Amino acid sequence: MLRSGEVISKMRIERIDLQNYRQFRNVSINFDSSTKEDLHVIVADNATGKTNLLNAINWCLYGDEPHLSKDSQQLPRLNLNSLLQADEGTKVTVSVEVLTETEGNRITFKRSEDYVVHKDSNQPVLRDIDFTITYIDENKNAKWVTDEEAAAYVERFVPRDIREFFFFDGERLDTYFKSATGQQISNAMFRISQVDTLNRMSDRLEGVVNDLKREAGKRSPQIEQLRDNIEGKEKNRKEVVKQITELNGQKEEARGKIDELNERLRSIPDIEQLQTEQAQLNETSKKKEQIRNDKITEKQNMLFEFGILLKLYPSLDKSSLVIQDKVANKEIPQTYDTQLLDNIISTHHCICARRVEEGSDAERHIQKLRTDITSSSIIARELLQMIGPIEQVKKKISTFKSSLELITREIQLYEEELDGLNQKIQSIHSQIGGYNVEQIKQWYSELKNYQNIHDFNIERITSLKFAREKLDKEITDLNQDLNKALEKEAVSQKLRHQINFGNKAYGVIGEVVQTMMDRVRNDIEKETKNSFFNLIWKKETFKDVYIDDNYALHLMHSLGYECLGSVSASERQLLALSFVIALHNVSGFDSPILVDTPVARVSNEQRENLGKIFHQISGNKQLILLFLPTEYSVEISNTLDTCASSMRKLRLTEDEREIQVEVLR
Amino acid sequence: MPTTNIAKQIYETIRERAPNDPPLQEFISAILKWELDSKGTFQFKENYRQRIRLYASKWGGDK
Repeated sequence: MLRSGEVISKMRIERIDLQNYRQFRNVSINFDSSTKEDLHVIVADNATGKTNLLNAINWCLYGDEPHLSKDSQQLPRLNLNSLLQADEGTKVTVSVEVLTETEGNRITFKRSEDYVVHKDSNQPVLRDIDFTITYIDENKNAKWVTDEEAAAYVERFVPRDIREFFFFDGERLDTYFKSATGQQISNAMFRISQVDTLNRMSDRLEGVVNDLKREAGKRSPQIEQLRDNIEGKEKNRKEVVKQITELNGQKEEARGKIDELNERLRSIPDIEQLQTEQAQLNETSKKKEQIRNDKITEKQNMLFEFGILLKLYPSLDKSSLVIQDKVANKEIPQTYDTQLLDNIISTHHCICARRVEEGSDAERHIQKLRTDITSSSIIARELLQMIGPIEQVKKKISTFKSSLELITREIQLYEEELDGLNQKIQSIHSQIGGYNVEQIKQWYSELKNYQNIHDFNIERITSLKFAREKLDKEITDLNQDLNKALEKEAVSQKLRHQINFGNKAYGVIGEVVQTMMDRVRNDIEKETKNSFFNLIWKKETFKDVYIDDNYALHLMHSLGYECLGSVSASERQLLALSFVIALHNVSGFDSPILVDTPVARVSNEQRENLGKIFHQISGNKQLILLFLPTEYSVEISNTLDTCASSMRKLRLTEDEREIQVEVLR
Repeated sequence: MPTTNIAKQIYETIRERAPNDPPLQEFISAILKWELDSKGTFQFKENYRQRIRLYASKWGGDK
């Protein structure tokens, strides 16, 4: 029996009746639980009503169709055959009825729309909308509620804000924790921990207490002034809190994008860094190549120079030997001092004191002697002077071999170094070669941008939190001043007491909100962890699952690193399912899970594992799975064929406007 | 009244956060119940004022 205000704790869908709803002209699908597992399999091709069954449940309960395809959006909700076959002006009703069972009681949700058909228009005219819930009350009488009251009942079944954790597209499971998820998770927690209700209470109580203060302030401008100040500060505080929430959302969105980009770039090298490295290597290679070329020129010059010297070597060697021989044999004439003879000629006096007459034989003799001595001395001196350079050249020639070896070795070393550099350049070229460099650069640029946004938001949040603390203190101080003023102005004892009481309650509600958020987060974290480690087939690979202060979920590898982005699609889906189950358990909204295309992104090998997981979950909870025929492969059907309570196949009629249900089990 | 674990936890938390203060506990629980039952669409001011008057009269002051 359903009492007012009661939250339905455990519910299952018994049957869905669809009348004239899109391709479902007249279809009933039973979800009898004949086995101990409450698992139901529906197989259907694309565009054969699978996703519209998900839409039908959403439309019945909430009045919208969140998973509608673009094609379906163009069509009326009314079944096309019903529309075409109806007479002009007749009324045709579209309805979806979800019959549920909760702890022995039956509750039926029914939404219907009445249309009037006009042949000259493609769209029927909507005349009436109705949403009704029928149930059995505590006196066992059938009761019904409609419209707003009915919508409030749905909130006790599956609250609208968290319906995405009950009826969802399986492909989303894989991407569930990838983007903006902290915000989604915190929204869900806000909803299930009734924090939205508590926050509403807090706002309303604040308004009412402010009214009381305003009433008290009528008697004193000082009180009025203080009240205005407090209201102003509280308004500022709300604005700061709003900004913190928004920035947290942006920060989490950036974090999601960072994770997504990191995952995309995980196996891709850092192209920009490689290109920088390649440019540096090219530069080094160019410099080394220049040095190597200079050395080659040096070697060529050396070979040219030594080539000449080597050709001259025998002659030089022989000359040197001849001169040295002549010196040894004293065959080289002595060198004489010609100064003495020059003096005799110029002074006309001999060293023997006799006069040497000008033009005399003596003078001619002395002059001839001087000429002879000069010639022999020059020759002797030049011969002797040749020995030094010849020996130097010979010495240089003797170093030729070692100099040649040295420069050849140097060139060889530069060649080797250049080969190494070229190999590195080539390797980088091959690494970059297979990728769309511009696209990758774009991803790296986006990554950097999101990292900046993330870090900037952290700084802004820290500064705003500081501002919030400052405002909190100011509000507390002003409230104390207000209390003193109220006492001084002899405001009625009763009114002051009510203001104090309201303020006190306001503070307690704030503490309750924080405690509830923390508790719910801890409980969901614990339950997610339990479910995940209970269900995961790789028992040693993972170490921990936790939800951080920003409500982002983390999966830790046993080696200590964060691995949510790198695990397989099936492991990520399992984590998402574990989170969904935890959310159901902690919230108390223990309703069915309906998943469209549950294993579309999962490899065949992993489907077997997920099949076993679905089997286990269905032991405690109703599970309705909508598969594509290709998705329902042997790996998963091997498990589910044996344990499913019911199996259906949806088929389109030949005109493709109606769906027929084939009962396989 | 909500019967979920969450609802129970909220009432427990109210008791924890306002220990030895039954009027304050009862006041917060009463407005929470009113919000949950009615979704608090109409006349919240009068409802809140009425409950403040009722429970403040039983309240012994800040402890």
